[in-house]
Amino acid sequence: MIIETDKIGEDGARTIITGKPQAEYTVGRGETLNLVYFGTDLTNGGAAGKKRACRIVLNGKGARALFLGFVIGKEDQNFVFDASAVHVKGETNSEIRIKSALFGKSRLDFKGDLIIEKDAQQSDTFLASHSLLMDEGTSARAVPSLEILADDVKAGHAATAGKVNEEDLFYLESRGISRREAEHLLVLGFFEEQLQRVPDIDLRDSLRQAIIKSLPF
Amino acid sequence: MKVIKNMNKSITQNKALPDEYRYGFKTKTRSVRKLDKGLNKDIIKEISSIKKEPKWMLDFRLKALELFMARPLPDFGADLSNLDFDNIRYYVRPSDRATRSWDDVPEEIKDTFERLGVPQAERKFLAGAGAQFESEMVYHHLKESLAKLGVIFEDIGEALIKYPELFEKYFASVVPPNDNKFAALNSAVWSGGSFIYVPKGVSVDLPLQAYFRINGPLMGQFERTLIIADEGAKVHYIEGCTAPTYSSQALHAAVVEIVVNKGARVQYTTVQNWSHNVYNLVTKRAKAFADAEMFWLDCNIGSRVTMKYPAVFLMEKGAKAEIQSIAFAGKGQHQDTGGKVIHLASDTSSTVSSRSISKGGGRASYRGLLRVAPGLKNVKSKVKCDALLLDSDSRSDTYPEMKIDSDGANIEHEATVSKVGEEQMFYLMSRGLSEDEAAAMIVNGFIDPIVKKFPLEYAVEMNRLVEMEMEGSVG
Amino acid sequence: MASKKITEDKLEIAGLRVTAEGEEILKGVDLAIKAGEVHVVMGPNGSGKSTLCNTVMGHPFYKVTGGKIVMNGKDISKLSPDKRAHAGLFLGFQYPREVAGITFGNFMRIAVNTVNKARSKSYKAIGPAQFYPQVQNEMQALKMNKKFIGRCLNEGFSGGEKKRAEIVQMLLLKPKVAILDEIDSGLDVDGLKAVAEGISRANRENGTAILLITHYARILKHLKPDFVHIMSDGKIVKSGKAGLATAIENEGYQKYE
Repeated sequence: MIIETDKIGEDGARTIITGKPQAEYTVGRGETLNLVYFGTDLTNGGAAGKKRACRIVLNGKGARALFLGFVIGKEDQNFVFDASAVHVKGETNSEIRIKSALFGKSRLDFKGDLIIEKDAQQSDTFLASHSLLMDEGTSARAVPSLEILADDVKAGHAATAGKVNEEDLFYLESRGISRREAEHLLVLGFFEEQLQRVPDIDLRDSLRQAIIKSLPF
Repeated sequence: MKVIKNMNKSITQNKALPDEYRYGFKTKTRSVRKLDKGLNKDIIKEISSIKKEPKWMLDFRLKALELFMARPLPDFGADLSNLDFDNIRYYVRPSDRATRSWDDVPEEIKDTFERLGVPQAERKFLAGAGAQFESEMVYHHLKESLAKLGVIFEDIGEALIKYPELFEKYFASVVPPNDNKFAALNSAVWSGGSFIYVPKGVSVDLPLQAYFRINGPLMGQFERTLIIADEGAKVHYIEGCTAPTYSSQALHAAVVEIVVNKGARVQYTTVQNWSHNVYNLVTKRAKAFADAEMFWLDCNIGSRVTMKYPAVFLMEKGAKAEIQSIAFAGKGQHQDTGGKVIHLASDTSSTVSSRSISKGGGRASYRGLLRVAPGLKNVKSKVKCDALLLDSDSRSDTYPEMKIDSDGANIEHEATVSKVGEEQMFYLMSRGLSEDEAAAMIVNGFIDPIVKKFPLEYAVEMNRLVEMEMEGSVG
Repeated sequence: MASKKITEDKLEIAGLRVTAEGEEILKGVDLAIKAGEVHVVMGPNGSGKSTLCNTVMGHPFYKVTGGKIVMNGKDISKLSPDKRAHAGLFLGFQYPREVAGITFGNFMRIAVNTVNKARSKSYKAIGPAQFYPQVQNEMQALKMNKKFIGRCLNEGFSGGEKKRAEIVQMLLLKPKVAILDEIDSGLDVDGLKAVAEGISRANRENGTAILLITHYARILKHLKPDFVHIMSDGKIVKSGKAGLATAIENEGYQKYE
């Protein structure tokens, strides 16, 4: 299942949901871009196996960009993804967030680049990459780089990789929920946190459905 | 209050000094042997023959030279295009041999180390000390009581002759010559450095220290350090480095190899304060076996360019790695530093923490690698890097790489870049501190979690160095 | 006051020995808890109280090396935690987990439906419209903000709110035996009272037997135990009536260490 959307919301923000992000997006003065990348499987035009790269250029004062990546890997799927945000002008804001749940022997190769150029003072940027490694044989690679050439900025990144938390599982199991269902709930919860960032409630719902359908359990 | 007092004192001291780099003084010495500049087979043969080395070592060097010549410069990190390998002197012998008494060290050289505070430190809080001047160790001494327990702390060149079996077993076993271009260079021309062996169950409670001094212009220093901690042994090694300021370049390309056997613990502490004309391109790596612990504490203040990523290979179950580093990049400096941890066994854990400061157009880059091999269980790792930018001319980069090939891993990574807060500055200045003093205090506070891990004597020195670097930096 | 609901339910812990990371923590614990009873286990830090709680619930970190955990005549010591919950056990956590992306209300609905389905084949799953008012009633009884039903499980809850939410969960799941691990820590005076009232009500209305693990006697001002046990170095070293807790309050644990 794949959702493709490109629409302008009431607030003027552009929201794109795609399994095939194009090469470059330029966000101008005062504009807002929400880019949602949804990578699931090969058969329906998803991104697995092919390298995807997207670059967001924040080219005007006050430009904002939010990139949300959702990846569910199964079998021997291989997701290769590069995402970058370049802050050219000041007071710009970008976030790149990618969450992946990897099953079977699937792998994610993620490279994120945040660049704040010299004139982009008072910009704010954050990059996050979180991977759940659900099975032995899965693999998550991440290079979240920051290149900061202006000083009056906020920049950071965070990454985690690992299994579903064992203590969380125990907590849910102690309430009578089977291990399998507890894992399922925790994976959904893991994506739900990021789904809450999708600005449009209808899009959020259809993405949630797409995620539930894509999970192998 | 104590901090403020210390700071005022050191700043007054500093103002009395004409030179901004406190260790920039030069010593006139007469070397015993000085080879021509440039690098070729004949130079290598000459080094090996001066050192009366066995044939295998000469062959090793010649093979490494080929590897060095064949390899391109690294395609990442700092700009090395100004580094002219033909304009470097690869071997200078300052004295006849490494002595065990400061009295026997030639007068001018002894004077240099006295000004650097080395013999004083040894008397006060060290279990042993070594000193290298240009290409050779001029002094090496270990407390009698430790020597009796079988601890070896020697000039590495002497160790090759005195302990051939131990030497051959471990030498280049952690860093092979073809590891990278500068490891190959070191393997070809290495000279000086420490050899440490701590026998089973022996704990060396006070640190051992070696001090490295480059004195001449266009000099290359290529020491090689090999530390072996046998089962259950403990040792802490500290290295300090300085050089005079010249307009020409100098090159420091060391290799450090550490073997931490079952249940052993090694701490390796570096206070790198080369002058701003030194290219510091160093390979440092440890292998930690079952339940062993390796701790790199790495502080880079000086040099023009530093490329250094202390690494730990966690070979067997229960092994632990910790890497803590500080980088200070001032005007014209590029500190490309970080750490690498390779988890090759289950039940292993690692912590990497880095704090960098960029000011006056300096560039500090964190470059890290965290790898978890396939099929492992119960692997934990935490990586944290924080950068502080002091002005708009400076630059900070973070290039961490994570390759997690096992679902039995629990990996966390965090990085932040921030500037000195105006509110903080205002608060401190409202208490009567000058801009420089306030900024120095903030920087010292920023690196404090790592500085705390240094032995007290060095922690005080570190704070002082930072204050000096911060002089006149704001405004 | 309505009379206590009495059933024949019984939890028996016999000669329980437990190791964690190769170290023996429980060295033969015996306890028998019958329907409707309130037991308190007190003991100094490190005596094995939390290990007892987690082991009875089936935490994978703890290894049972000897003895039995028997619920209504059936040894449950090899069951997974969810099966133990189905059998009627409940653990109130000392540090309840914060779980992202799952709301408190939805989580409770899934848990209540799963547990009741397992307990009775004829049970019909309850929908949100019917269930959420029940949750909110219990939340109100515990003096919790009703809006927290839409928050993620324990996320952004204060220490005290987490403890109240544990009691709400216990009241909704209606276990036969509830083990409450330091439920009284992190609570202010009002919170302590509300939690103690919730425990009394579960005991009275649902017949839930209580095994209360605590370090301090202060919660016993609001809750009258039938039995008090002192735990020290992995064993129950003394058992008695409510008066034993008062003795501990006055004299400390030293005598039993």
